[in-house]
Amino acid sequence: MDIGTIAIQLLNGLQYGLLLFLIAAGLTLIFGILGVINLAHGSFYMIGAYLAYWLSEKTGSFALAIALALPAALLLGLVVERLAISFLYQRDHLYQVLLTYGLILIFNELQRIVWGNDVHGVAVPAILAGVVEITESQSYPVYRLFISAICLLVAAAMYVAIHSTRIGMMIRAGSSSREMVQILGIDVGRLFAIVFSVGAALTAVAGMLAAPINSVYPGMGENVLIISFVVVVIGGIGSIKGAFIGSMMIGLADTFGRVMVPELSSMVVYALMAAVLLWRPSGLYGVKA
Amino acid sequence: MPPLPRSIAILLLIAVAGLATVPLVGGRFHVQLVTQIFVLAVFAMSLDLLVGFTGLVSFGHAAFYGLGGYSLAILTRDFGLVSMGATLPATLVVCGLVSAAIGWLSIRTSGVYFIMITLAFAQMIYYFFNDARGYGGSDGFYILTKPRLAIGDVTLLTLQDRATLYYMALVVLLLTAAFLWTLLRSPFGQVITALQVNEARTRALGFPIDRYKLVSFCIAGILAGLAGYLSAVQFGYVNPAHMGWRESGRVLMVVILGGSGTLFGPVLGAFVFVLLEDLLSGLTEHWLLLMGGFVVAVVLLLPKGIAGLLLSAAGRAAKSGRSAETHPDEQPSVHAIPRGGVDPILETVDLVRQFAGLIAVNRVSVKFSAGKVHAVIGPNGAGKTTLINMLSGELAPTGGHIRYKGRDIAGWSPDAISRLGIGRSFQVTNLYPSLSAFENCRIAAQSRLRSSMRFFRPASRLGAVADRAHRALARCGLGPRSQDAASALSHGDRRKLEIAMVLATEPELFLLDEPLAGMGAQESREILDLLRAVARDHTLILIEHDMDAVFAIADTLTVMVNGHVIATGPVDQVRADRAVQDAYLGHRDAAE
Amino acid sequence: MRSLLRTISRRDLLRQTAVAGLASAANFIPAVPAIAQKAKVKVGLLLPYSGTYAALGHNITDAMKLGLAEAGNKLGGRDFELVQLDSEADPAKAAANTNKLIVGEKVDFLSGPVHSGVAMAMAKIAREEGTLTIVSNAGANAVTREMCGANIFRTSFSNWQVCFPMGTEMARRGLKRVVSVTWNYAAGKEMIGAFREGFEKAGGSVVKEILIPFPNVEFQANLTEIAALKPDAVFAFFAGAGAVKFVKDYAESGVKAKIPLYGAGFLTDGTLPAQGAAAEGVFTTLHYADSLQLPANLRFRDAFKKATGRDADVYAVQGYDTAQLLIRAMEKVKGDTGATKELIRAMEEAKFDSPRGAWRYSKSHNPVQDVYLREVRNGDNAVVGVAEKEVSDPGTGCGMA
Repeated sequence: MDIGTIAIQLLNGLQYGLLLFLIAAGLTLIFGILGVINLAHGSFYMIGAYLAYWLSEKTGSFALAIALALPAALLLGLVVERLAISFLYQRDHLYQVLLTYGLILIFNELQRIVWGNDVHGVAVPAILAGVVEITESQSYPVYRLFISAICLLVAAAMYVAIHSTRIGMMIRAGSSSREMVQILGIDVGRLFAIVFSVGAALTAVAGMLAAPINSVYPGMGENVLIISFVVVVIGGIGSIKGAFIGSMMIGLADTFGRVMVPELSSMVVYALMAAVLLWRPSGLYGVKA
Repeated sequence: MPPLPRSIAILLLIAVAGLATVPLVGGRFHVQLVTQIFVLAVFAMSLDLLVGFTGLVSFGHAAFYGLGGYSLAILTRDFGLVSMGATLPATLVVCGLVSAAIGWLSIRTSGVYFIMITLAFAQMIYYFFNDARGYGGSDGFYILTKPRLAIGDVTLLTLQDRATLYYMALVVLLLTAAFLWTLLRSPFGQVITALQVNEARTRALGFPIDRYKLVSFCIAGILAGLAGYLSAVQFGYVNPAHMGWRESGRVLMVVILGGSGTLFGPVLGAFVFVLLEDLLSGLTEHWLLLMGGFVVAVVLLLPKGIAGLLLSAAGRAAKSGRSAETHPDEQPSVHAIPRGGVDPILETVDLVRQFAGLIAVNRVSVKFSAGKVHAVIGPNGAGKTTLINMLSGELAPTGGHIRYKGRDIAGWSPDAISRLGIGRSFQVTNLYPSLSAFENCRIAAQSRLRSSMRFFRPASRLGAVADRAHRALARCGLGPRSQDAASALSHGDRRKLEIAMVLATEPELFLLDEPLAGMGAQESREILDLLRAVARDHTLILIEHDMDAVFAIADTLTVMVNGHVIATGPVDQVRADRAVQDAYLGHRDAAE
Repeated sequence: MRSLLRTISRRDLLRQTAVAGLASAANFIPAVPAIAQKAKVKVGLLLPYSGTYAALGHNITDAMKLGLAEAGNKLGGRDFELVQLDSEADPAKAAANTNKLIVGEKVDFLSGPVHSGVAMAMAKIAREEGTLTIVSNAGANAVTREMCGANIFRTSFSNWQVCFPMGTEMARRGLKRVVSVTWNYAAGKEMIGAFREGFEKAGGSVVKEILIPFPNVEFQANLTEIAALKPDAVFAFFAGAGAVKFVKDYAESGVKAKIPLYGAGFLTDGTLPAQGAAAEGVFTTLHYADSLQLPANLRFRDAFKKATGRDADVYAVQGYDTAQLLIRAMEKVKGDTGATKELIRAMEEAKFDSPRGAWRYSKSHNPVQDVYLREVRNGDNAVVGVAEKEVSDPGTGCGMA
């Protein structure tokens, strides 16, 4: 591989990683603070994508679609938290896995009832269409750069929010020790509801942003679910920083794995996760379980 | 494992008898369907050994199931083996080896990380078969000749025949159930059950828990392989999808639906699940919506699964036939330690423990003589509990040495330290709440067997172990309460039980972390008397805040402040120490 | 009609299931298998009605129903019943599901599935049981090669069949160095394998075969790799969501402007609305094209649109032809489902005008069909010509071939 290609592959890996980060950040927060393994997390990704498709068809504007879909996703997260997840806080992981698995089935069927079985595409907004020429044979789509920029922005905003707001303080306290939150006299119910719906919305945003480059199709949530769990576990449950590093690692490992060891590429990310866990049984930045 | 209520046992017997007649009265389809259910039941039971009895939630169990099928397929195609006598053992060995390798790596993690690492390994195996050329890839491949059981030229059974396969699956199911039933009552089974209830306690009692987890993981893997073998025989077809995470999730669902932690639960789960899928998939095109709703409802309404429902229906009134067995209320010494011996029995040299920036214990060097009662005191945050946790192995020191009878044990695991003869009690009582007082002590006593890797004889028949447990209980005055569940005991009795458990492990050195914490005046007096009695033949190191108690019982005193030892020596001498009075006792006197 | 049929068949099944349950719980009740009404012909459909492939399952089913309705809703003069079972496109459940239809429902004919893994299990059991089976989509070569059987027919295609001609065609167009790309699964490997065979036989060379983990849809890394390899063209096989994503990524990454994209027809079939402009100019080969100007095709597409409100596609054609085959065979034997030999011969000899062209079978029961070269023009797969006429799968390893 020449330098130009390596540079572009690096860009590919980082961009993929950044999108994964958006999904994994919500997952790790829910994991770390609520203590809930949410298998239905991928469903929010799918719903985000479908909302982006549906609303941009209706309104004719991708930006408007996102503006409308975002509050809808927050609300959906809140409803799911109140109606199902809130019953799981005291329960064993096993039941959380099971209940949220049931939610996947329900969301998938609802999606089919509302939006049907077809694969849909969402057009890239005109101003973001086009490519940047990097070398004479290689170019890079502008929209992907845009996604990366948005993801970085969200990551920065999360960093600021977590380190300098009151709710951020609660989240930090909560992810290092859940008892701590109770001790500090925080309204746990409210904190949990907020964290869950923000986490769900982050994932939905990832789905919306990915809609124009991805196709929108039934069952798309499951494809990202396992991989985002891998990211969270590598980074350490509850750690946003870990999720960030983990997504970069997975993005790069997957990208370079495919090009350099194609015959093993399906296993690369799993092997990476196993290796990290053998080295650090609680992930890179995880609090020891 | 609690015994089965009679009504349920009878129902199960009738069901088995009924099932034995299905090939005689049922159609071909029913024979097939029920065979399928039997196989799923064996698979689910194997997972339940991990999930319900060992406390290890595996999300990659289908890998072994699939591997069982693939082993058979490869042995048949590439090695031309059609004899069940060759393929079955070979398959089980393959599954055993692979589960040993995966288990050995996976048990280093716990909780969610364990769930995820098992998933990771399963996905790797899945992709291996999915991508590899030669094994049919995602299309799967066939077993064209089904296994036969033959002696010489006489074919005893051929699994080609549906009824034969049916009975074979039924027999395998019953044997698996019987095997697991025996296993769970064996010393090994007692340890894994204990491990699930309270891992830290089990390790502190001296069990090398990782080894037990690993063996349990292997047994579960082998049984899953057995189920996979049968499934491959039934349809003559294997596919990587059999090892995917969906299959792992499906069998997990069967276990929880049926009721984890029981043997008959997963079997019921298999029946209900398969029949339900069969039924719902026909009702509407959107049947997965119903399935999802059902799953959610089970979690919310049936937390203990169908088995839990049945058990509560059966009343569970008769709390088993066993009443408190009477034992002579003698008070023999559990373990008489000759006073003196090696001196000091325990010594720390420049012991350091650092937590990210904070030095909790800073170059602590103390000697503890044998046969004495040593108290470690100091204000909150002085590093006392950290010190004791290093002595018992819960925490590894970041520097320095711990010498027990001259041997450096710094950084040893808690179980190894316990087996050396150092027992400990915890600040917050640390018991097996669901087990009786006697069972708590029996597990403790069992830790002194050379190994509890005994799989067949019931633990209850280990006479010497039971005797030791009874003696320890009697010594702590808990003889009359030996059949009560630990969770039903009063706070003081629970503390006594904890001491009894440690005594049952026959330690020479006894570490106690605030034995009087949270006790009322009367309870404190009783515990103190007990400790005094224990001190007659044990060396004690205790952390305590209650100064009156400390002065009443201790021979020596070690005072810690901010991670340092500021004084150590005979009680009177330390009490007189000016620095100690200033730093610690002085404040206390002033406060009174 | 669908719901009515479903209710009837379901009730039977429900009763059987209940009997099985009872028989196990209390053995005193003798299990009486629900005897299927002999008056009705049972046709079992094992197709995906949920999940990623649900759209395919529905089109196949609805086109079959259309074909049967056109024939007066009779098979050889008898009433019939379609027993639909959701395959979930899950090979892990395939054997049990096939068994449920053949042994449990005692269907006279079996049809389906979409997924090759499911087809492999289905073919195995169908062969053992002798049930007349018509594979209506899955293209696994083995179905009409090693696993072929007198009672197994296919109305779709073999993976080899649709890709081999593209190899010849691309060589004919003067392309020398080609990269092929697909998912790392059996169908993908068969597709690019057949392409390679055709292309190299005609003098081209495949410089690299890229296999992407299934069902991963993150293609960027491989597109960069392709750009670096600078081949004359790319041959790709993806289907459904993967096809949409690949074609869009291919265009958006700028590779398409430099390296033309060719593929198996599924790359642009049923996916064009989602792919939009990104698909323009992509060449594919398939045994069908929506825009085929054949009278039978125009008639069929019109009727399908009227019946369902949706546009027909290649899957619908395959379902429709399955119905044609059933109707013709049952007519020959006057509804006698027991006359297996005659039924098989009738199917082998069936000749009719399929929407895809003239219908006839090869010895291994795979259709002999023209493979069309199509180009995406204005959001439509326009037929540019015939890549190869009357392509017949070699049927290697099939005793009947």
